[in-house]
Amino acid sequence: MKTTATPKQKQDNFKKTKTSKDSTMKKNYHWPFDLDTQAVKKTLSLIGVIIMTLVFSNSIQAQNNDLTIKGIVTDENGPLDQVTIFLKGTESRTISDKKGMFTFPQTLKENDVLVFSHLGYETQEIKIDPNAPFIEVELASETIQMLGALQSDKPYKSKHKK
Amino acid sequence: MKQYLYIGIFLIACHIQAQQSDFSHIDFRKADSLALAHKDADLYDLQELTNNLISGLTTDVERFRAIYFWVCTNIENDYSLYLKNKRKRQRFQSDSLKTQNWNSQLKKDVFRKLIKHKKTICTGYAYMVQELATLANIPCEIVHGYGKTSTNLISETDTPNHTWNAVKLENKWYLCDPTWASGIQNPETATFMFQYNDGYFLTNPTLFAINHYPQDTKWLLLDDKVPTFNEFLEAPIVYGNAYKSLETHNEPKMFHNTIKKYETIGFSYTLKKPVSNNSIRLLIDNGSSNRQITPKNIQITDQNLTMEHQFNSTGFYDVHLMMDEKYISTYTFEVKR
Repeated sequence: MKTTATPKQKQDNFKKTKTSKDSTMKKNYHWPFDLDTQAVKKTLSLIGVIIMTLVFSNSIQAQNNDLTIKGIVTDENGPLDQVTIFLKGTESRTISDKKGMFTFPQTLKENDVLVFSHLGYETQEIKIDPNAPFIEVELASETIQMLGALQSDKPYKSKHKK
Repeated sequence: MKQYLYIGIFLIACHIQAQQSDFSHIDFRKADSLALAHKDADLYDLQELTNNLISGLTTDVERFRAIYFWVCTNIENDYSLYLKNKRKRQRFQSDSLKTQNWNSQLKKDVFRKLIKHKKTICTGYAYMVQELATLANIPCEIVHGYGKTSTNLISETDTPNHTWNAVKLENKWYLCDPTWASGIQNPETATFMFQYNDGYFLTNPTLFAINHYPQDTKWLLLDDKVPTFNEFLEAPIVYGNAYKSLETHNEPKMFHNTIKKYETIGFSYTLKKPVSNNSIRLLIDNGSSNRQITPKNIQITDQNLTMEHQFNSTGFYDVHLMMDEKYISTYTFEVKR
């Protein structure tokens, strides 16, 4: 019996204090000062979190402007050198080395587009993703037959039977 | 559906034979000087090169001219690579897998050399022209097929050996051969000489077909009288200078001819520009000696040149048409009793 009685009492006490508090607030303040301080605190902290998030994410974005992009270009036979890699819409460019490797000479940011082009291969565009600063690109070769006939102005001479 | 439309447009387009004279009102000097101004440009950024080549040019034909002229005057023909390719292709002729492997290996080599040393074989030329034209938004195709020269007569069993371009200007397709336009190879010294020949630019398809036969015959751009592959094989030899002097080559139709003694042989050509009667000679070689003669009945009316010759003794003769001491074409005549 005792155990059931105590919580009820406590509940009652709590209710009492709460109502008394409410009544005092209502007595002393007008809007907006009659707002529940708890709620205000919550809202404020939420705004704080949002601001912090924004600030924080901004700092990430700031870091994104300084992405150093490296990578390797290959074709179906392995590393491909002499591939022109340029930042779309700019003059900035580099060329892959003998091992197909490159480091883009300027820092890039998210959503910049690098264009990979090489004679005999289909041009490919890659969007920069901050989570993948190392790019692996395989260029598809265009199907062409290599042929070569020579022009010659050497006069024709028949082989005569003797 | 689109294909039919395309073919339809194509057929309409080639009803009128497309050639450089369609653009005789355009002065290409501006395009040519623009190409010359970028003589030392490299191939690392093709868009930039294209933009430089076409800047200030207002018509597609001038833009294409600048691109074509730049390729012809800047890209060198690589003779050793040509020989290597020819050897390998002959060796692998019956083995398509090996040919494919060789092709992909060569292709890498070709494009590397093209970029680094601006040297290539003919597919490289055609490819460059197409690449740059595409960057300039001009429709341009690579055409594979057979190219016939005095040192490389084609036989029926040969595989395609040459590449050139078709380009669409003002809704009409035209032919050009940047490889042969760029210069001449000396097979004995294995050296390449830049020597631009304007005759291969937007050439009359009838003349072009005498020593160019595409794998896909639609690129002959001849719809009324499409020559067969056999006719191509039997056609006379024409030299680079023919492209400078002739608009079309009409008669004789065959390279090897068998005739009777005293039979009259007719020669007929359409000229690009008027020539004087006494610049025209026939160089006749009977195997042991040769002599130059003036053909009979030379007639030049408008742009048409006709003349005749008769053999008075039997034998086997090589006959070369010469204009201003230059080889234009060659025929053989077996003269029988």
